[in-house]
Amino acid sequence: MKTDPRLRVGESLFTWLLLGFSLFILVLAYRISGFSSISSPGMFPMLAAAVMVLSIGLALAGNRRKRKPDAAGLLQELNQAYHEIFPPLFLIYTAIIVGYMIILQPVHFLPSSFAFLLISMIYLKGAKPLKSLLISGVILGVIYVVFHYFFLVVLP
Amino acid sequence: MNESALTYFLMAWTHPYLLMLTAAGTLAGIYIGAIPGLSVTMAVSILISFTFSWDVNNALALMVGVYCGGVYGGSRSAILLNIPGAPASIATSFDGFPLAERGEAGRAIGVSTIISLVGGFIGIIVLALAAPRVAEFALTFAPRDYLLLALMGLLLVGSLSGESMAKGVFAGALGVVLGMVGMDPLTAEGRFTFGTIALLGGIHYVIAMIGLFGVSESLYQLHMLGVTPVKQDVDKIIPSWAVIAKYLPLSIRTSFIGVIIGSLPGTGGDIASLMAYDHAKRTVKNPSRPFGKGAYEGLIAPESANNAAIGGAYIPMLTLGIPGDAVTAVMIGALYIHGLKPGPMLMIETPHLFWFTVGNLALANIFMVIFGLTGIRIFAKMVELPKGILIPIIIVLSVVGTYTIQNNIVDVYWMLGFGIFGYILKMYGFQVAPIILGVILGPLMDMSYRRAVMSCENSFPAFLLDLVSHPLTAVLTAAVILMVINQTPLWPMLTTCFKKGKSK
Repeated sequence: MKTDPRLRVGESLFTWLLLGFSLFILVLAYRISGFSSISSPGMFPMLAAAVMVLSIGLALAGNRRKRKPDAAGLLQELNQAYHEIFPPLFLIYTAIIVGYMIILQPVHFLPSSFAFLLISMIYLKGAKPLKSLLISGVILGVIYVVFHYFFLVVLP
Repeated sequence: MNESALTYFLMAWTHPYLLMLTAAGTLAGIYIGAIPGLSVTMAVSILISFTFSWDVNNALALMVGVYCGGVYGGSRSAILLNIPGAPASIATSFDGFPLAERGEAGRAIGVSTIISLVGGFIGIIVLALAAPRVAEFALTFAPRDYLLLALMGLLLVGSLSGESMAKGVFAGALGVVLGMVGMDPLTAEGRFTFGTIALLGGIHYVIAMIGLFGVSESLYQLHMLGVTPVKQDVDKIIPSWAVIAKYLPLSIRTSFIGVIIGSLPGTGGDIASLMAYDHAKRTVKNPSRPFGKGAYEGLIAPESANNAAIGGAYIPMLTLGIPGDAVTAVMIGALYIHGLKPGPMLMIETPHLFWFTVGNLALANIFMVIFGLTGIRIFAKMVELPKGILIPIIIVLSVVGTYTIQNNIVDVYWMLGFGIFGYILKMYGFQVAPIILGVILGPLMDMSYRRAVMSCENSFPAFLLDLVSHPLTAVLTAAVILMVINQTPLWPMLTTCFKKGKSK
């Protein structure tokens, strides 16, 4: 998969964030057992974290060779990233999924999943409301029978 | 094969009840493997719970069927939805999904079915003929060799699946760190647990796999909501003999890679299929399309290898009592439950079990083709479903699949976290496959590294010397170094020097 030599909007900032995250992991790994022994529990995590720092450093160096996105300043780039990487559709649908997961246990699997399927299909324009109602019911019925009766799985 | 061995080999073929159980197991395996979020390991684990009271042959017939069908079925979701049903199908998604995007899902599944049979049978033949000898070879592998082998697997997936080696290696190392979360098995010390008990058990790789593949792919697909689904051509499902003959040499070569990797204890179809994919990428000069864009060679290599790895994985399981991968680990548990002790004595005390298993595997492969080819139309039509219907269904399946692992709602939150993180990574050109492989291989690498260092009395120079002073280890070390150099500017310089030297 070869890509455009131009950086994606917000890519530079994201790579810097990953570098910060990698350094944080390296510190955490060091705090497990330091350099007490080369076979200590923290040694391999430290090696892995060091590889993370090194490789993301190389990725940052690679970013410098790419052309910058068309944005005047960081604020405009963040605004563009919001539209391209985190569009309202993504944010709202992720919120719907989070909501589903929050109500999953208190409301139980069947009603919460039915509501989630129905709302999702209508919101994502997968099918008209009546058809969505029917599809949600059938799909949920199949999932329930297969998992509950055939695989004897405990549902949330 | 003597007369009694032949009788045991044909037992599952001639006994109607065993025949039915193998068929049922294979059919169930294909569909379980194809459902995102359901893994073949999970299916075999669940089956064990209700085969406790069964006769050992009946239980084994069912589980062998599920295993074969499940590994094959895992490629279905990899091809159709870009969600590998099992780690062994990660490499299948590299070219399988682009094929489905071109409307060739039916043909891709047809070819992969026949090729899986080739791989499966090569694995079985090697199992039958060379089990004791291959097991003996695998025994010569030291912990440092496992470390290098796992490293090769990670480097392969890092370099194969993304836009830059640096990003791939970062993802692999991140996976290794995630695999370290929890209690250290040697010292019982917590690692990356932030002092909480909840994290002591670690992060199950299936949770990461469902999140990074299932949910992140669904979120990624939100950008393509308006795109009309590609019409799948389901007229040419069964590939012609000319097509099979064209790819047969590659399939045979990669099947042997699969059976060798599968026979190494601790490594299974996941590494085997990645190595096979890499082999195809390096050796096929004129692929049907560029690799990663729907090359049939990129589909055939991993599919041959992961099915051949099944036969391979049985070798250490039956002859040494050591699991070849996660499923054979569960199988070993099942054999213990039925009063059998897998290991060198199993071959001596109950040789019939060995030949029964070989016969059963062969039968399961035949059923795999029958059920595999007949169900393609339904599967191929799945991709034609509007994204607005498919995405919510995948999310619900992902939730159920995650919850069933430990019946813990916190796992579902983790899964969503992985999904969102995976989505952002994907949007910025990082691949998620190396993370999964890192989570799976991380603990193996950690243990192998520490065992190797301890065997050198904690001396790092002695450990480095070990990496070059043993023939097998030296070959693996050289391979790892070459793989790293291959991705740096040093490689073109070296090849130019080599060519100049040759022309002189």
